[in-house]
Amino acid sequence: MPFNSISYILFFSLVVTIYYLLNQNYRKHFLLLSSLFFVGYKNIESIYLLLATILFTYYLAKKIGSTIDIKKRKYLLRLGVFISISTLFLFKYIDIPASFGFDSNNLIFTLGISFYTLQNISFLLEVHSNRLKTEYNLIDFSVYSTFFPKFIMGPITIPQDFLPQINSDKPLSSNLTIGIQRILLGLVKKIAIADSLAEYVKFNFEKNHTPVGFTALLISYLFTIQLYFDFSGYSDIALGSAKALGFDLKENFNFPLRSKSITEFWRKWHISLTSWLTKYVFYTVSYRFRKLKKAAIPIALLVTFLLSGIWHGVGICFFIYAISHSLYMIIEYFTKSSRLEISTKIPTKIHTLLSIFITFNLVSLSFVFFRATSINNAFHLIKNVFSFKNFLPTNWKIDVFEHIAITSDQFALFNLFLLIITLSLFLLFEKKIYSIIINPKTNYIFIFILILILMIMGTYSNPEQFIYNRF
Amino acid sequence: MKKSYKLLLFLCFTLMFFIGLEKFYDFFLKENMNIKSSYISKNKINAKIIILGSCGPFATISPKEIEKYTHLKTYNLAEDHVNILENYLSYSLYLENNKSPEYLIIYTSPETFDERDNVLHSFHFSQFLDNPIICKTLKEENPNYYRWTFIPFMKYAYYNSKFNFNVIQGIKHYIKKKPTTLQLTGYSPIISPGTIEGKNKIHRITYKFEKKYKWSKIQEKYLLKIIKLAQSQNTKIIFYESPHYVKSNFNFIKRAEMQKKTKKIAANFGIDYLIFDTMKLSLDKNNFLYATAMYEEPSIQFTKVLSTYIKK
Amino acid sequence: MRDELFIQVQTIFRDFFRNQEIELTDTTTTEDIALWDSLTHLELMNEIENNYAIHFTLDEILDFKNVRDMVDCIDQKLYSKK
Repeated sequence: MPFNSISYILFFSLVVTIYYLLNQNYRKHFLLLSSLFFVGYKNIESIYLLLATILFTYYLAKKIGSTIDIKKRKYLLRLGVFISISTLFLFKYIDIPASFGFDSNNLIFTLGISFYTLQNISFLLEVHSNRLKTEYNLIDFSVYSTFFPKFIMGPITIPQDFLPQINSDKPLSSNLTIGIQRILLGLVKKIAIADSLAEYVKFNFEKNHTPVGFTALLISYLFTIQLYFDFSGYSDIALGSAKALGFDLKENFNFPLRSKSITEFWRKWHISLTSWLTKYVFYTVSYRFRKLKKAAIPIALLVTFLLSGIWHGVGICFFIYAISHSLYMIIEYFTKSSRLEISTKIPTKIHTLLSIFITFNLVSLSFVFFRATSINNAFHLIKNVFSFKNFLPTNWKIDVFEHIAITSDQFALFNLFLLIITLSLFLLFEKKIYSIIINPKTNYIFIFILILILMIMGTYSNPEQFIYNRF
Repeated sequence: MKKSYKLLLFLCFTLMFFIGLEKFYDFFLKENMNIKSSYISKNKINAKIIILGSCGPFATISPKEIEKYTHLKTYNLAEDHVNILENYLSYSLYLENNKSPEYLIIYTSPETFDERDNVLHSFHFSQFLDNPIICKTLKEENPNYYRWTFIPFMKYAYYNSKFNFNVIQGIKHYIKKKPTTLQLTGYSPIISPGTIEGKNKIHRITYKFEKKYKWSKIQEKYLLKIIKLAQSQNTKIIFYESPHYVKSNFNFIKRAEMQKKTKKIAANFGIDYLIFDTMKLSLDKNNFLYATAMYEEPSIQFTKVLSTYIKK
Repeated sequence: MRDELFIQVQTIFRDFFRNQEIELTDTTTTEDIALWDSLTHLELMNEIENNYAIHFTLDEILDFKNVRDMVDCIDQKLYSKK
């Protein structure tokens, strides 16, 4: 049941309706049942695997909580983390289900494993360090672990943010408005914008069709924008679904494409993963190496990004992606005060625009490795971008627009322009749009516009998977 | 109470809007004279000879050439990238608005019956979903699409990238009232690249592909439907296969087997099946864009031969 | 006592970030100071530890939500040292 499918919309409407009719005391039980159905509707095996993981993590967490001996606590924590990570490796990297004849694309347990393994680890860590003050029982923990809006692709939620919400009374009708508006926005971002872009990006990323110079750069921009709309669209649907049920999940994106530095970009892009990694990896490593003073930070950055790369997938492309971002960040770290000095000498507006432009370019170049199907393709595209001799196209219509639009048919060019105008409007006014969305007052005009865009520009005949489904 | 009243009003408005938008698209897509299905149902063509098929005849058979020899009005109803199934739909649509022809010439090369060509471009016919034959066929052959068409405007939303521009073009055609020449004869030749660089490269790449044919039951089913429809109206049917680049034969596994099946159908219904494999044209690779599609120049030569046969 | 501590910490902040305009309040967080982020956070903590000859554990550092938590923690450590 991907979020961009009719079956999800039906499932969700049914869940919301029953949820509202139920007494508050039974709502969490119903949520758990719905989530289990969400995970297991295709194959019951997913539920068994999930329940085993839940029971293991829950009882281990209780055991850690009740143990006083510090050494023993540490031992139990290590055991839990080790087993969680081993499960992740077995299912994600070695693809154990495949050897039993399962298609891992259909095994929902495997689809969500990258995300909720991190969540379970954070649960154990928070219990171990006594930071989790909320009381919880098996049902509460299971709801936290399986909550369907965040199950497949996050946002990764730490227990303190979620557990208190399970048993609290929630005002529902205003939440429902925000939730539905947000789901609609997410669908527009995904179905109308990201999926339409996908076709152009896919074609132009193939080695035989790689464009040259400016057009190649433009394609790398388009992928960055596609990924942003795809993943933030997903997050909007996830947060919207949760909101309609009265839950506030952590925002995953905070207008990242407006970042003025890579450091800022990582505070605003896939926030739930970044904060997980910052809290549990970056701080741990830099704390351990802090006697090294200035050198501690680069080491910690490198370790963090490499782990993030491995989490996304094993391969040389993700390795280069991770290395490039750690390099960006290390350079930024060491030039921080001098950059601040420069900024005082340039008019603020120009400085802001220039910083956003440079950051966006650096991010887009690194995302080439994220997208490319092979390292050769990635280097090929990068090489084409830097072909300075013929960087600017001689014939804009043929070399740029017709190349990106795949054919020179009038209707293909028309579609490309329609798409570019729409996505530019969404990018330019994203802050305004966000403020409309989170306003509990129903904005019928806005809802109508979203439905209209969905109908006129949505991709239905061959829907694309969410990009982060792979991770 | 006020809130639910507002919501109801909004839902009604949205529903009405999309019903209206669907009618709007219906109307202007039918006005777009660059779309063949719209052109034939808007204009009286009443040709005596109709050509049916895919890109092969679409790009090789010039109705004007045939008229030169036969003195019978000819229209090329073939289209790029279509198959027999879509031919059936176009032909039924054509008959709604036009007299049945005397001759129906159908391109039936083995490529036509390959399973790989089972794609149905439903969006060629969305504006004609009120036509019972088209409605029934799309329901049977593309249920994934048909399932949603009860939702207002969804019949366009589903393939929207194919319509938005065409609607605007339709508005232009409606306002200007100027007949477009694109579908006048229904024929669109492939201009030979002549001196374009890399011309030979195209040939070599194309002929390297190995094709393994698999007989498509769906195409057969709709061929039979066309035959029955035509024969019930006393239209004489001719099957034909244009020259293809002979040297590429060795890559075309099972081609002969496919041909045999078509021959059998032809024999069952008393239809002539013309094969022009042995023509001299087939020997020169410079005549071909790819193995089964000729450039303009050689295709006119071929049309001459075909016309003489029809005349007989 | 605590007020005095607060001013001392503010001085450390000002020296560390080379910005004499920083004004700390109880509710100041990393959001409020331009250069204060997760990259500089541990370095800053190190500076404070050296200044008072105390030692933060990693869990304590992770627990700080704002300047109040931090100053309370320093206060407590200095008190228990006496």
